[in-house]
Amino acid sequence: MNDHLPMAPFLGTDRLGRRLTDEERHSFEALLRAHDFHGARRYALLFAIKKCRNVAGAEDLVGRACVRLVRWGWDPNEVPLAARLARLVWSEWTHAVAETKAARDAERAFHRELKATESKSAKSHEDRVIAAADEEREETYARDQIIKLRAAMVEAKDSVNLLWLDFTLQGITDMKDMARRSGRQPEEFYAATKRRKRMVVRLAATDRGVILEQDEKDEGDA
Amino acid sequence: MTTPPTHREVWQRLLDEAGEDEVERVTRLSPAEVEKQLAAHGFEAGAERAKADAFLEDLVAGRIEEQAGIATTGKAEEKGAAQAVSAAVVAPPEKAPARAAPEPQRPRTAIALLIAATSAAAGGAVVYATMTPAGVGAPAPDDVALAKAAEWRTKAGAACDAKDWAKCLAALDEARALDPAGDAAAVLKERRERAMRGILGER
Repeated sequence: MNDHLPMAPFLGTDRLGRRLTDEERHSFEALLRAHDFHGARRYALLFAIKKCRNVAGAEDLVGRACVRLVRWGWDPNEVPLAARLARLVWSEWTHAVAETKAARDAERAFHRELKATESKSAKSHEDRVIAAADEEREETYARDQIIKLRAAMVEAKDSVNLLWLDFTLQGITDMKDMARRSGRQPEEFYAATKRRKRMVVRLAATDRGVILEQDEKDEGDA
Repeated sequence: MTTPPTHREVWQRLLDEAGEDEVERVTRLSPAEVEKQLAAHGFEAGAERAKADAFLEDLVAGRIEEQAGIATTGKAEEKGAAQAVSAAVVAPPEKAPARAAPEPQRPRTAIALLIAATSAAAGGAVVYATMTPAGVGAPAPDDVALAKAAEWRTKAGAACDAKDWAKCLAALDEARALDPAGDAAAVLKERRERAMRGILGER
């Protein structure tokens, strides 16, 4: 990948709030080619196959990640293209876009119908209702995942991570502060990070119907 | 006074934290290693190159935005028209999103949909140490799967009675993976709710 090129960030259509112009499309394409898009995509593909364990699923994940790249943009100064794409794959994988899209589409269809039979103000009502439903679903899903994580911590008798989780939910994020408040050593909290990451990866995998082998579970220990 | 974050914010933080390591594990591989591993999974270099080319062609032709339904609303188009050409790439040094994760339009999973549909706080404990691989998402579970699901549900009931909430939820999850439709039963919903309340009570 060429790290010596001018590094203008590509903002992405979500931030721009519109489609790209022809000139922007060509500039972005040139930027991607200059940063070895083909090679970067292969890293993303490998990451995807490691996550979802089937070729079609991996192709789908990478395809969605590439679209996300257009929407969310990329700053070459901050992260290489391969890592950016892999992060987008991770994001797609951990949030199961496909399933929720169907629900959202159904919701939108319902509200389109509503709009057709209501007054002019229906559009803003539609937007408000969809946004509120989205937000509620996201919060409920996150709460559900945290409950599962807590259960896994309880099962593993991981008292430090249980403390970490409780402090974090209270808005305390500094590990030294956590250590001071709990009478533990800061090192214990730092050491717990690796265990916590593994639990989250396992939880995300289970959520997507992937059962990790023991050696994969322990990979992070190496 | 510290403001408590939302569950969404905490979960996102956890995902970001875990994702960094996961991504790094792959991106630190050499291109040759990536090639070798992809070949082992059955990917063909030529075909993948063609797919990458197709994406770039679609990008230039505007088909990506079209297919993804990007900024199709009048409002967005108007905003776009008012902006300078090439603003997307030759941009002011405002930082683009650093991470993939903290975006406002957050997708959710099927579990979230189930929760929304049933208005129940569904979920479950995952007792990894005792977990066994289970069939996931089978559209029409066979008799064996149904029998196993029933077995898990019996175990869940026993665990629930014993107030072993984590095991109760884990067993309910196992059963749901084998027989998703059966999970809609009122008694199971109630059991799941109890277990979740029990787990939260352990705090």
